[in-house]
Amino acid sequence: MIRGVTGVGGVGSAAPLERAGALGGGGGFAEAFESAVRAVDASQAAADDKLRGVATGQSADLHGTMIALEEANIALRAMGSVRDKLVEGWQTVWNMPV
Amino acid sequence: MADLLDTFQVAASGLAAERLRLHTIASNMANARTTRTAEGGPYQRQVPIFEAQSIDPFGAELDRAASQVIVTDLRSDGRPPVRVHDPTHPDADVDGYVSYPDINVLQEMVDLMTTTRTYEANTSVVEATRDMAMRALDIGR
Repeated sequence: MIRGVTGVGGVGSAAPLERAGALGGGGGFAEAFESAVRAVDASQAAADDKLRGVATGQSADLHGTMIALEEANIALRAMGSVRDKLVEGWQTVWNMPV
Repeated sequence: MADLLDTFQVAASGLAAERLRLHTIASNMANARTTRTAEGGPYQRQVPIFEAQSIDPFGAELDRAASQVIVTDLRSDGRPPVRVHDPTHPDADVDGYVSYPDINVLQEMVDLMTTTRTYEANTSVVEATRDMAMRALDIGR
């Protein structure tokens, strides 16, 4: 979960330069975005597991669940920010006069 | 690197420790007048033992300094039982004295209040960490 968010940060910082070069080969933006989505999905799944445990009475880890939900929330927002940046970069390229 | 989200882990350990302390206080309060236990004799007041544990023992110096709290042990505090003269009680000894655990409910109430406040303080840490992470995400807007 924690690694996941670090991964999102890594994509954000590495994507603009490296992926732009790979764009001709295809999959540049898509690949960067996919890894971010995977990281967020992992944290969402972890939060979901904990929530299910509390709801079914198997676990009483209330604060652990809330913290996992918060982490998933932060990861999702981080992904949203990365997406905004990626779309912004793509639009810059798209609007480039040739 | 000291991750902002590692702070969540430290605060969560504090919350878990306080929850366990609440559990022992509940046990102590409930058994304030218990004269029989599986080990024999009156109930013994339980005290949780907290221990600091580095969350990243092989990391850089600053990371090693950040410690979470774990409950390593539950000990009885070793107070001698209070002897009360009551020959009609089934657990009275030959002299008519009953051994009760030496539990002061007022003291347990004070412990309960500190536990509640400490739990609250740890949730504030979680909230502050969350707010800081959100602020960081606002930079890109």
